[in-house]
Amino acid sequence: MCWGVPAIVVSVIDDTTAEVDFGDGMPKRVVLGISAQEVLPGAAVLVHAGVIVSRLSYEQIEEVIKYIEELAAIAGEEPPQDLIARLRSLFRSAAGGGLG
Amino acid sequence: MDPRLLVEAVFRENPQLALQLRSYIAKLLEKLGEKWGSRARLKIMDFCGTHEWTITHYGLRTLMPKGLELVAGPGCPVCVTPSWELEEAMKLSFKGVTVYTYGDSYRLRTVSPVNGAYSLAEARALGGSVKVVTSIYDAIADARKYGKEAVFLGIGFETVAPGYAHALLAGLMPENLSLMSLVRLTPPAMFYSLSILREKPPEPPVMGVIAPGHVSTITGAKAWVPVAEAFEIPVVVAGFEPIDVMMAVALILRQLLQGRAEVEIEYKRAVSFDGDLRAQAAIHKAFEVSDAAWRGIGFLPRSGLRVREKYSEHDARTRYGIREMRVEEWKKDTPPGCKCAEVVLGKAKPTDCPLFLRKCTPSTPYGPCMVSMEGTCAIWARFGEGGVTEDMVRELGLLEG
Repeated sequence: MCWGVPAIVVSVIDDTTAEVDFGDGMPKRVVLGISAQEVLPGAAVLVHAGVIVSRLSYEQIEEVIKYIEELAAIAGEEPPQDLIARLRSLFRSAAGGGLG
Repeated sequence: MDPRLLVEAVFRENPQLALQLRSYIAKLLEKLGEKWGSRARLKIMDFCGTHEWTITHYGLRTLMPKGLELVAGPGCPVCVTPSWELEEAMKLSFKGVTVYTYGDSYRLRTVSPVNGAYSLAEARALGGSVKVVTSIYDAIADARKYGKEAVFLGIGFETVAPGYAHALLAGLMPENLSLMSLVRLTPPAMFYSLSILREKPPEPPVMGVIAPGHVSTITGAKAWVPVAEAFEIPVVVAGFEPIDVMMAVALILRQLLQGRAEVEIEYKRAVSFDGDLRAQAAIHKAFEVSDAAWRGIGFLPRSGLRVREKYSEHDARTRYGIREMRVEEWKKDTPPGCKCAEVVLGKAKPTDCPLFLRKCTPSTPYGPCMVSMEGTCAIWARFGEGGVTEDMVRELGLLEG
Protein backbone atom coordinates (compact mmCIF):
# COMPACT_ATOMS: atom_id res chain seq x y z
CA MET A 1 0.00 0.00 0.00
CA CYS A 2 2.98 2.26 0.27
CA TRP A 3 4.05 1.79 -3.31
CA GLY A 4 4.29 5.20 -4.90
CA VAL A 5 5.33 5.80 -8.48
CA PRO A 6 7.06 9.01 -9.64
CA ALA A 7 5.45 10.69 -12.65
CA ILE A 8 5.49 13.98 -14.53
CA VAL A 9 2.29 16.05 -14.76
CA VAL A 10 1.33 16.46 -18.44
CA SER A 11 -1.78 18.56 -17.99
CA VAL A 12 -4.16 19.63 -15.27
CA ILE A 13 -7.72 18.95 -16.38
CA ASP A 14 -9.60 20.55 -13.52
CA ASP A 15 -9.35 21.19 -9.79
CA THR A 16 -9.46 17.47 -9.09
CA THR A 17 -8.02 15.65 -12.10
CA ALA A 18 -4.72 15.64 -13.96
CA GLU A 19 -2.92 13.62 -16.61
CA VAL A 20 0.52 12.26 -15.82
CA ASP A 21 3.28 10.39 -17.64
CA PHE A 22 4.95 7.52 -15.77
CA GLY A 23 7.79 7.48 -18.25
CA ASP A 24 6.22 5.44 -21.04
CA GLY A 25 4.81 8.45 -22.87
CA MET A 26 1.20 7.35 -22.26
CA PRO A 27 -0.82 10.02 -20.45
CA LYS A 28 -2.76 8.48 -17.56
CA ARG A 29 -5.60 10.19 -15.76
CA VAL A 30 -5.14 10.52 -11.98
CA VAL A 31 -6.82 12.36 -9.12
CA LEU A 32 -5.31 15.23 -7.15
CA GLY A 33 -5.02 14.14 -3.54
CA ILE A 34 -3.09 17.28 -2.60
CA SER A 35 -3.51 21.03 -3.03
CA ALA A 36 -3.96 22.06 -6.66
CA GLN A 37 -1.32 24.81 -6.49
CA GLU A 38 1.29 22.08 -5.95
CA VAL A 39 0.36 20.34 -9.19
CA LEU A 40 1.32 22.27 -12.31
CA PRO A 41 2.15 20.88 -15.76
CA GLY A 42 5.76 19.73 -15.74
CA ALA A 43 5.88 19.04 -11.98
CA ALA A 44 7.31 15.74 -10.76
CA VAL A 45 4.78 14.02 -8.48
CA LEU A 46 4.28 10.79 -6.59
CA VAL A 47 1.20 8.74 -7.58
CA HIS A 48 -0.33 6.19 -5.24
CA ALA A 49 -3.33 4.02 -6.27
CA GLY A 50 -4.42 6.55 -8.88
CA VAL A 51 -4.01 9.56 -6.60
CA ILE A 52 -1.26 12.20 -6.50
CA VAL A 53 -0.07 12.16 -2.88
CA SER A 54 2.95 14.44 -3.09
CA ARG A 55 5.02 16.75 -5.27
CA LEU A 56 8.63 15.69 -5.56
CA SER A 57 11.12 18.48 -5.03
CA TYR A 58 14.61 17.43 -6.02
CA GLU A 59 16.13 20.77 -4.96
CA GLN A 60 16.49 19.08 -1.58
CA ILE A 61 19.57 17.14 -2.68
CA GLU A 62 21.65 19.66 -0.74
CA GLU A 63 19.93 18.37 2.43
CA VAL A 64 21.15 14.84 1.63
CA ILE A 65 24.67 16.16 1.11
CA LYS A 66 24.43 18.02 4.42
CA TYR A 67 23.49 14.75 6.14
CA ILE A 68 26.51 13.01 4.61
CA GLU A 69 28.82 15.79 5.81
CA GLU A 70 27.34 15.70 9.31
CA LEU A 71 27.60 11.91 9.51
CA ALA A 72 31.23 12.10 8.41
CA ALA A 73 31.93 14.67 11.14
CA ILE A 74 30.32 12.55 13.86
CA ALA A 75 32.20 9.47 12.65
CA GLY A 76 35.39 11.55 12.95
CA GLU A 77 36.17 11.46 9.22
CA GLU A 78 36.69 13.93 6.39
CA PRO A 79 33.55 14.31 4.23
CA PRO A 80 33.82 12.16 1.06
CA GLN A 81 34.31 15.03 -1.39
CA ASP A 82 34.44 12.89 -4.54
CA LEU A 83 31.16 11.19 -3.62
CA ILE A 84 29.52 14.53 -2.86
CA ALA A 85 30.72 15.98 -6.17
CA ARG A 86 29.40 12.92 -7.98
CA LEU A 87 26.00 13.21 -6.27
CA ARG A 88 25.75 16.88 -7.25
CA SER A 89 26.62 16.14 -10.87
CA LEU A 90 24.21 13.17 -11.03
CA PHE A 91 21.39 15.37 -9.81
CA ARG A 92 22.33 18.22 -12.09
CA SER A 93 22.32 16.00 -15.17
CA ALA A 94 19.17 14.09 -14.19
CA ALA A 95 17.30 17.23 -13.27
CA GLY A 96 18.41 18.87 -16.52
CA GLY A 97 18.19 22.31 -14.94
CA GLY A 98 14.38 22.12 -14.72
CA LEU A 99 13.83 20.96 -11.18
CA GLY A 100 10.22 20.17 -10.36
CA MET B 1 11.65 9.90 -20.57
CA ASP B 2 11.84 12.95 -18.35
CA PRO B 3 15.28 12.83 -16.72
CA ARG B 4 13.76 13.63 -13.34
CA LEU B 5 12.20 10.17 -13.28
CA LEU B 6 15.76 8.82 -13.22
CA VAL B 7 16.68 10.77 -10.09
CA GLU B 8 15.28 8.01 -7.86
CA ALA B 9 18.01 5.78 -9.26
CA VAL B 10 20.57 7.87 -7.37
CA PHE B 11 18.96 6.50 -4.20
CA ARG B 12 18.63 3.00 -5.64
CA GLU B 13 21.84 2.13 -7.47
CA ASN B 14 24.63 3.86 -5.65
CA PRO B 15 27.16 1.35 -4.27
CA GLN B 16 29.67 4.07 -3.39
CA LEU B 17 27.18 5.89 -1.15
CA ALA B 18 25.86 2.60 0.26
CA LEU B 19 29.38 1.57 1.32
CA GLN B 20 29.99 4.99 2.83
CA LEU B 21 26.76 4.77 4.82
CA ARG B 22 27.57 1.22 5.93
CA SER B 23 30.85 2.49 7.31
CA TYR B 24 29.13 5.41 9.13
CA ILE B 25 26.53 3.07 10.62
CA ALA B 26 29.24 0.73 11.94
CA LYS B 27 31.26 3.62 13.39
CA LEU B 28 28.24 5.26 15.00
CA LEU B 29 27.20 1.97 16.62
CA GLU B 30 30.72 1.53 17.95
CA LYS B 31 30.64 5.04 19.41
CA LEU B 32 27.27 4.26 20.99
CA GLY B 33 28.88 1.25 22.67
CA GLU B 34 31.63 3.49 24.03
CA LYS B 35 29.02 5.95 25.28
CA TRP B 36 26.92 3.24 26.96
CA GLY B 37 29.95 1.47 28.35
CA SER B 38 29.17 -1.87 26.73
CA ARG B 39 28.72 -3.26 23.24
CA ALA B 40 25.62 -1.59 21.80
CA ARG B 41 22.77 -3.99 21.04
CA LEU B 42 19.58 -2.49 19.73
CA LYS B 43 16.69 -2.90 17.33
CA ILE B 44 15.27 -0.44 14.85
CA MET B 45 11.70 -0.99 13.70
CA ASP B 46 10.80 -0.47 10.06
CA PHE B 47 7.08 0.13 10.31
CA CYS B 48 6.08 -0.04 6.68
CA GLY B 49 5.77 -3.19 4.55
CA THR B 50 7.41 -1.42 1.64
CA HIS B 51 10.42 -0.59 3.82
CA GLU B 52 10.62 -4.27 4.76
CA TRP B 53 10.51 -5.07 1.04
CA THR B 54 13.42 -2.68 0.37
CA ILE B 55 15.44 -4.03 3.31
CA THR B 56 14.96 -7.64 2.26
CA HIS B 57 15.09 -7.22 -1.50
CA TYR B 58 18.35 -5.27 -1.38
CA GLY B 59 19.84 -7.39 1.41
CA LEU B 60 20.30 -4.41 3.73
CA ARG B 61 20.34 -6.63 6.85
CA THR B 62 23.64 -8.05 5.66
CA LEU B 63 25.09 -4.51 5.67
CA MET B 64 24.16 -3.85 9.31
CA PRO B 65 26.88 -4.29 11.96
CA LYS B 66 26.55 -6.97 14.62
CA GLY B 67 24.31 -5.75 17.42
CA LEU B 68 21.96 -3.78 15.18
CA GLU B 69 18.80 -5.60 14.15
CA LEU B 70 16.08 -4.34 11.82
CA VAL B 71 12.61 -5.62 12.78
CA ALA B 72 9.44 -5.38 10.70
CA GLY B 73 6.34 -3.66 12.07
CA PRO B 74 2.59 -3.71 11.35
CA GLY B 75 2.66 -1.65 8.16
CA CYS B 76 0.79 -4.01 5.85
CA PRO B 77 -2.89 -3.10 5.49
CA VAL B 78 -3.85 -6.38 3.86
CA CYS B 79 -2.27 -8.35 6.74
CA VAL B 80 -4.33 -6.49 9.34
CA THR B 81 -7.72 -6.49 7.60
CA PRO B 82 -10.04 -8.50 9.90
CA SER B 83 -11.49 -11.77 8.68
CA TRP B 84 -14.96 -10.57 9.81
CA GLU B 85 -14.98 -7.67 7.33
CA LEU B 86 -13.78 -9.87 4.49
CA GLU B 87 -16.49 -12.45 5.25
CA GLU B 88 -19.14 -9.70 5.14
CA ALA B 89 -17.89 -8.63 1.69
CA MET B 90 -17.95 -12.23 0.48
CA LYS B 91 -21.55 -12.63 1.69
CA LEU B 92 -22.48 -9.58 -0.42
CA SER B 93 -20.75 -11.06 -3.47
CA PHE B 94 -22.97 -14.15 -3.20
CA LYS B 95 -26.07 -11.92 -3.03
CA GLY B 96 -25.22 -10.49 -6.45
CA VAL B 97 -23.55 -7.31 -5.21
CA THR B 98 -20.29 -6.85 -7.15
CA VAL B 99 -17.30 -6.51 -4.80
CA TYR B 100 -14.40 -4.50 -6.20
CA THR B 101 -11.09 -5.32 -4.54
CA TYR B 102 -7.34 -4.83 -4.94
CA GLY B 103 -5.42 -7.85 -6.22
CA ASP B 104 -3.81 -8.77 -2.91
CA SER B 105 -6.99 -8.67 -0.81
CA TYR B 106 -8.57 -10.86 -3.52
CA ARG B 107 -6.40 -13.76 -2.30
CA LEU B 108 -6.60 -12.97 1.43
CA ARG B 109 -8.02 -15.91 3.38
CA THR B 110 -10.78 -15.79 5.97
CA VAL B 111 -10.97 -17.86 9.13
CA SER B 112 -14.53 -19.11 8.51
CA PRO B 113 -15.91 -20.10 5.12
CA VAL B 114 -18.73 -18.24 3.39
CA ASN B 115 -20.73 -20.63 1.16
CA GLY B 116 -17.63 -22.84 1.11
CA ALA B 117 -15.29 -20.03 0.04
CA TYR B 118 -12.28 -18.88 2.11
CA SER B 119 -11.33 -15.84 0.01
CA LEU B 120 -12.82 -13.44 -2.50
CA ALA B 121 -10.98 -15.41 -5.21
CA GLU B 122 -12.73 -18.60 -4.10
CA ALA B 123 -16.02 -16.74 -3.78
CA ARG B 124 -15.72 -15.70 -7.40
CA ALA B 125 -14.91 -19.27 -8.45
CA LEU B 126 -18.05 -20.44 -6.64
CA GLY B 127 -20.31 -17.91 -8.35
CA GLY B 128 -19.83 -14.74 -6.29
CA SER B 129 -19.55 -11.41 -8.09
CA VAL B 130 -15.99 -10.14 -7.53
CA LYS B 131 -13.83 -7.89 -9.70
CA VAL B 132 -10.18 -6.89 -9.24
CA VAL B 133 -9.32 -3.19 -9.69
CA THR B 134 -6.25 -1.07 -9.06
CA SER B 135 -8.01 2.00 -7.63
CA ILE B 136 -11.41 3.24 -6.50
CA TYR B 137 -11.61 5.20 -9.77
CA ASP B 138 -11.49 1.96 -11.80
CA ALA B 139 -14.37 0.73 -9.64
CA ILE B 140 -16.30 3.98 -10.26
CA ALA B 141 -15.86 3.68 -14.04
CA ASP B 142 -16.89 0.01 -14.05
CA ALA B 143 -19.87 0.53 -11.74
CA ARG B 144 -21.10 3.38 -13.97
CA LYS B 145 -20.80 1.20 -17.05
CA TYR B 146 -22.66 -1.83 -15.68
CA GLY B 147 -25.06 -0.11 -13.28
CA LYS B 148 -25.14 -3.11 -10.91
CA GLU B 149 -25.23 -2.82 -7.14
CA ALA B 150 -21.57 -2.73 -6.14
CA VAL B 151 -19.21 -2.22 -3.20
CA PHE B 152 -15.60 -1.09 -3.19
CA LEU B 153 -13.52 -2.78 -0.49
CA GLY B 154 -11.59 0.23 0.79
CA ILE B 155 -8.49 -1.27 2.35
CA GLY B 156 -5.42 0.83 3.14
CA PHE B 157 -3.66 3.32 5.37
CA GLU B 158 -3.63 7.14 5.28
CA THR B 159 -2.17 7.12 1.75
CA VAL B 160 -5.38 5.86 0.14
CA ALA B 161 -7.75 7.89 2.32
CA PRO B 162 -7.54 11.15 0.28
CA GLY B 163 -8.55 9.24 -2.86
CA TYR B 164 -11.56 7.66 -1.13
CA ALA B 165 -12.49 11.00 0.47
CA HIS B 166 -12.29 12.77 -2.85
CA ALA B 167 -14.56 10.20 -4.51
CA LEU B 168 -17.20 10.81 -1.81
CA LEU B 169 -16.87 14.61 -1.53
CA ALA B 170 -16.79 15.35 -5.27
CA GLY B 171 -19.87 13.19 -5.86
CA LEU B 172 -17.99 10.86 -8.20
CA MET B 173 -19.59 7.70 -6.82
CA PRO B 174 -22.51 6.53 -8.97
CA GLU B 175 -25.77 5.78 -7.16
CA ASN B 176 -25.17 2.01 -7.34
CA LEU B 177 -21.67 2.07 -5.77
CA SER B 178 -20.81 2.28 -2.10
CA LEU B 179 -17.62 2.18 -0.08
CA MET B 180 -16.82 -0.31 2.65
CA SER B 181 -14.19 1.66 4.54
CA LEU B 182 -11.49 -0.52 6.05
CA VAL B 183 -8.98 2.31 6.29
CA ARG B 184 -6.64 1.97 9.26
CA LEU B 185 -4.55 4.74 10.83
CA THR B 186 -0.91 3.95 11.44
CA PRO B 187 0.16 5.93 14.55
CA PRO B 188 -2.05 3.90 16.99
CA ALA B 189 -0.55 0.66 15.62
CA MET B 190 2.96 2.01 16.01
CA PHE B 191 2.20 2.93 19.63
CA TYR B 192 0.81 -0.53 20.30
CA SER B 193 3.62 -2.50 18.71
CA LEU B 194 6.29 -0.37 20.39
CA SER B 195 4.69 -0.80 23.80
CA ILE B 196 4.55 -4.60 23.26
CA LEU B 197 8.15 -4.81 22.02
CA ARG B 198 9.53 -2.66 24.81
CA GLU B 199 8.04 -5.12 27.32
CA LYS B 200 9.97 -8.05 25.92
CA PRO B 201 13.19 -8.47 27.88
CA PRO B 202 15.84 -9.86 27.50
CA GLU B 203 15.65 -8.96 23.81
CA PRO B 204 17.55 -5.79 22.80
CA PRO B 205 15.22 -2.77 22.98
CA VAL B 206 13.70 -0.98 19.99
CA MET B 207 15.66 2.26 20.05
CA GLY B 208 14.42 3.87 16.85
CA VAL B 209 11.72 3.82 14.21
CA ILE B 210 11.90 4.19 10.44
CA ALA B 211 8.54 5.86 9.81
CA PRO B 212 6.49 5.36 6.63
CA GLY B 213 7.35 7.90 3.93
CA HIS B 214 4.22 7.84 1.83
CA VAL B 215 1.78 7.87 4.75
CA SER B 216 3.71 10.92 5.92
CA THR B 217 3.22 12.77 2.60
CA ILE B 218 -0.41 13.07 3.74
CA THR B 219 -0.18 13.21 7.56
CA GLY B 220 3.11 15.10 7.68
CA ALA B 221 6.04 14.06 9.86
CA LYS B 222 4.21 15.74 12.75
CA ALA B 223 2.04 12.61 13.11
CA TRP B 224 5.04 10.81 14.66
CA VAL B 225 5.94 13.44 17.27
CA PRO B 226 3.82 11.70 19.97
CA VAL B 227 5.72 8.44 19.28
CA ALA B 228 9.13 10.09 19.66
CA GLU B 229 7.97 11.87 22.82
CA ALA B 230 6.16 8.96 24.50
CA PHE B 231 8.88 6.37 23.92
CA GLU B 232 11.80 8.83 23.93
CA ILE B 233 13.26 7.30 20.77
CA PRO B 234 14.29 8.82 17.42
CA VAL B 235 11.83 8.55 14.55
CA VAL B 236 13.08 9.13 11.01
CA VAL B 237 10.63 9.41 8.10
CA ALA B 238 12.32 7.66 5.20
CA GLY B 239 11.90 7.10 1.48
CA PHE B 240 11.75 3.66 -0.09
CA GLU B 241 15.02 3.27 -1.94
CA PRO B 242 17.86 1.37 -0.24
CA ILE B 243 19.95 4.52 0.26
CA ASP B 244 16.97 6.18 1.96
CA VAL B 245 16.69 3.32 4.46
CA MET B 246 20.43 3.23 5.20
CA MET B 247 20.47 6.98 5.66
CA ALA B 248 17.53 6.68 8.09
CA VAL B 249 19.41 4.06 10.15
CA ALA B 250 22.47 6.34 10.28
CA LEU B 251 20.34 9.33 11.33
CA ILE B 252 18.68 7.29 14.11
CA LEU B 253 22.12 6.29 15.45
CA ARG B 254 23.28 9.91 15.23
CA GLN B 255 20.31 11.04 17.35
CA LEU B 256 21.03 8.32 19.92
CA LEU B 257 24.64 9.45 20.12
CA GLN B 258 23.57 13.06 20.57
CA GLY B 259 20.97 12.09 23.17
CA ARG B 260 18.08 13.31 21.04
CA ALA B 261 14.67 11.68 20.49
CA GLU B 262 13.08 13.69 17.72
CA VAL B 263 11.22 13.32 14.45
CA GLU B 264 13.51 13.87 11.49
CA ILE B 265 12.71 13.69 7.78
CA GLU B 266 15.11 11.84 5.52
CA TYR B 267 12.60 11.74 2.63
CA LYS B 268 12.61 15.49 2.13
CA ARG B 269 11.96 15.24 -1.59
CA ALA B 270 8.39 14.12 -0.82
CA VAL B 271 7.53 14.75 2.84
CA SER B 272 7.02 17.95 4.83
CA PHE B 273 6.49 18.40 8.57
CA ASP B 274 2.85 19.46 8.20
CA GLY B 275 1.82 17.16 5.36
CA ASP B 276 -0.86 18.12 2.87
CA LEU B 277 -3.54 20.17 4.57
CA ARG B 278 -6.01 19.82 1.71
CA ALA B 279 -5.80 16.03 1.91
CA GLN B 280 -6.12 16.09 5.69
CA ALA B 281 -9.20 18.36 5.45
CA ALA B 282 -10.81 16.10 2.83
CA ILE B 283 -10.26 13.02 4.99
CA HIS B 284 -11.79 14.80 7.98
CA LYS B 285 -14.82 15.92 5.94
CA ALA B 286 -15.59 12.47 4.55
CA PHE B 287 -14.65 10.27 7.51
CA GLU B 288 -14.78 10.14 11.27
CA VAL B 289 -12.18 8.38 13.38
CA SER B 290 -13.39 5.20 15.08
CA ASP B 291 -12.06 2.33 17.16
CA ALA B 292 -11.14 -0.49 14.78
CA ALA B 293 -10.08 -4.12 14.84
CA TRP B 294 -6.67 -5.18 13.47
CA ARG B 295 -6.35 -8.77 12.37
CA GLY B 296 -4.73 -10.99 14.98
CA ILE B 297 -4.19 -7.99 17.25
CA GLY B 298 -7.65 -6.82 18.36
CA PHE B 299 -9.26 -3.41 18.73
CA LEU B 300 -7.01 -0.37 18.75
CA PRO B 301 -8.63 2.86 19.91
CA ARG B 302 -9.15 5.56 17.28
CA SER B 303 -7.36 3.60 14.57
CA GLY B 304 -9.97 3.41 11.81
CA LEU B 305 -11.95 5.69 9.50
CA ARG B 306 -15.74 5.39 9.22
CA VAL B 307 -17.75 7.15 6.47
CA ARG B 308 -19.56 10.17 7.93
CA GLU B 309 -23.36 10.04 8.13
CA LYS B 310 -23.66 12.83 5.57
CA TYR B 311 -22.37 10.42 2.91
CA SER B 312 -24.24 7.37 4.22
CA GLU B 313 -25.91 6.70 0.85
CA HIS B 314 -22.46 5.58 -0.31
CA ASP B 315 -21.55 3.81 2.91
CA ALA B 316 -21.78 0.05 2.32
CA ARG B 317 -22.36 -0.55 6.03
CA THR B 318 -25.53 1.55 6.10
CA ARG B 319 -26.74 0.49 2.68
CA TYR B 320 -26.49 -3.26 3.30
CA GLY B 321 -26.94 -3.19 7.09
CA ILE B 322 -23.47 -4.56 7.76
CA ARG B 323 -23.11 -4.55 11.51
CA GLU B 324 -19.81 -3.35 12.92
CA MET B 325 -18.03 -5.88 15.09
CA ARG B 326 -18.25 -5.09 18.80
CA VAL B 327 -15.15 -5.19 20.97
CA GLU B 328 -16.44 -8.16 22.99
CA GLU B 329 -17.11 -10.13 19.79
CA TRP B 330 -13.50 -10.01 18.65
CA LYS B 331 -11.57 -13.24 18.76
CA LYS B 332 -8.17 -13.99 17.31
CA ASP B 333 -8.76 -14.21 13.58
CA THR B 334 -5.57 -15.76 12.25
CA PRO B 335 -5.76 -19.39 11.11
CA PRO B 336 -4.63 -22.15 13.52
CA GLY B 337 -0.86 -22.37 13.86
CA CYS B 338 -0.26 -19.08 12.00
CA LYS B 339 2.09 -16.60 13.67
CA CYS B 340 1.12 -13.61 11.53
CA ALA B 341 -0.08 -11.57 14.51
CA GLU B 342 3.29 -11.98 16.23
CA VAL B 343 5.14 -11.24 12.97
CA VAL B 344 3.08 -8.07 12.42
CA LEU B 345 3.99 -6.84 15.90
CA GLY B 346 7.68 -7.61 15.40
CA LYS B 347 7.56 -10.25 18.18
CA ALA B 348 8.43 -13.14 15.86
CA LYS B 349 10.21 -13.62 12.56
CA PRO B 350 8.52 -15.46 9.69
CA THR B 351 11.10 -18.23 10.11
CA ASP B 352 9.81 -18.78 13.69
CA CYS B 353 6.47 -19.96 12.26
CA PRO B 354 6.17 -23.73 11.74
CA LEU B 355 3.96 -23.16 8.68
CA PHE B 356 6.38 -20.79 6.89
CA LEU B 357 7.26 -22.18 3.45
CA ARG B 358 5.61 -25.47 4.36
CA LYS B 359 1.84 -25.15 4.51
CA CYS B 360 2.07 -21.40 3.79
CA THR B 361 3.77 -20.23 0.59
CA PRO B 362 3.41 -17.20 -1.71
CA SER B 363 1.54 -19.30 -4.30
CA THR B 364 -0.78 -20.86 -1.68
CA PRO B 365 -0.88 -18.37 1.20
CA TYR B 366 -2.44 -19.69 4.43
CA GLY B 367 -1.82 -16.78 6.79
CA PRO B 368 -2.53 -13.11 6.03
CA CYS B 369 1.17 -12.07 6.08
CA MET B 370 1.92 -14.33 3.09
CA VAL B 371 -0.58 -12.67 0.72
CA SER B 372 0.49 -9.14 -0.10
CA MET B 373 3.78 -8.00 -1.59
CA GLU B 374 4.06 -6.01 1.67
CA GLY B 375 3.46 -8.90 4.05
CA THR B 376 6.65 -9.74 5.94
CA CYS B 377 6.23 -13.50 5.35
CA ALA B 378 5.67 -13.04 1.61
CA ILE B 379 8.75 -10.80 1.34
CA TRP B 380 10.98 -13.16 3.31
CA ALA B 381 9.73 -16.13 1.30
CA ARG B 382 10.37 -14.40 -2.04
CA PHE B 383 13.83 -13.12 -1.27
CA GLY B 384 15.13 -15.84 1.06
CA GLU B 385 15.59 -13.72 4.20
CA GLY B 386 16.35 -15.21 7.61
CA GLY B 387 18.54 -18.05 6.32
CA VAL B 388 15.86 -19.42 3.97
CA THR B 389 18.17 -19.40 0.96
CA GLU B 390 20.97 -21.11 2.90
CA ASP B 391 18.54 -23.82 4.07
CA MET B 392 17.34 -24.46 0.54
CA VAL B 393 20.87 -24.60 -0.81
CA ARG B 394 21.82 -27.05 1.93
CA GLU B 395 18.73 -29.23 1.30
CA LEU B 396 19.65 -29.38 -2.37
CA GLY B 397 23.12 -30.55 -1.40
CA LEU B 398 24.81 -27.52 -2.93
CA LEU B 399 26.48 -26.47 0.29
CA GLU B 400 28.37 -28.46 2.87
CA GLY B 401 27.30 -28.42 6.53
